[in-house]
Amino acid sequence: MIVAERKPLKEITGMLQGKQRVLVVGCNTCVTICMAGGRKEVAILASALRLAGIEHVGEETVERQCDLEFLGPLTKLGEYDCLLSTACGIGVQLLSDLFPNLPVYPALNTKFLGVNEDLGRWSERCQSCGDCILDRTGGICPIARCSKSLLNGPCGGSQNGKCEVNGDVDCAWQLIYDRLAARGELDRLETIFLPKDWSHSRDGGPRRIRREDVAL
Amino acid sequence: MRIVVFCCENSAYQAARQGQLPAEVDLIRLPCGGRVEVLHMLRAFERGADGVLVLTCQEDNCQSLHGSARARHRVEYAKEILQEIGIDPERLQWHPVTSNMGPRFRKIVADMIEGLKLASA
Repeated sequence: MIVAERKPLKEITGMLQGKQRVLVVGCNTCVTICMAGGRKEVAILASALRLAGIEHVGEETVERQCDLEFLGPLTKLGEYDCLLSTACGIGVQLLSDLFPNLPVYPALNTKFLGVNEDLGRWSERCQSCGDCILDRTGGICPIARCSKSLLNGPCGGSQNGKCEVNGDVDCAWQLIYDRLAARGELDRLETIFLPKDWSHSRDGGPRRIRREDVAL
Repeated sequence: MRIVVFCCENSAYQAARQGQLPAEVDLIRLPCGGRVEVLHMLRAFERGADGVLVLTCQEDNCQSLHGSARARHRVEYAKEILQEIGIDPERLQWHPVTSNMGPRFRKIVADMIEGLKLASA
């Protein structure tokens, strides 16, 4: 899922300076699961904004803010000075497209694509590089989980299974080695990874997918 | 002055019933401290409360195991929100109160009333 966290309230109230009619728009998908921008967080944020002195704060949460199909109900809402989205950056942009004359502000910082490790703990797993190699690395992504995104690791900064960047971070290449060793597949590491073709990632500009079998 | 007191019915609510409640108090009975949510505390302030207390079991004596710890964590989170929007976080407090602690319950409430009076003086 996309993992996000709420911006500091001071930053949010700073964006909303002078606005007295604010609609907080949440999303029922990823940001609900990571407890940053679902219906409950919308209610908390709206309550905090009212306590901070904003006169009229509305609340609305849609099923998926990244999908126009679910944004229809928002077009029938009353008069607002601005929208405050508690979705990821994708939802904020789609709302801005839908309401080009209305400021749409982000209430969250979109952090990464990751997993829920434990109660209240999330961590990154994928950088959407566009060319998955998990079949060769024991299901552990060195692009997302090695601090240097090394394809042929580990580097000299791997100590006792931890990364030199931060002692709390597991060395992805140690994890890969241990996983492959346990599976008896260490021979996979004898194949050197060639330089990655980053044109499938951000180097190729904003990416698009088109499915002719689905398109009308 | 209004003080909203969220009480676990297994502990602080029993303590609250051991004496006269001050006129300023609105008592809210919870099945467990873990039922209280950040939104409940903020809503209490929105609706005019001057102070909010969340009184639950001792953390190692919660029938639901983690209810009191959850309540404490949520109070800490709500206090951060209050601080960020310029409301004195001391207006919201969590305390463990067992069922036989009637005097402690009344002291916590009296201390909050006193603190709020001093803050508004």
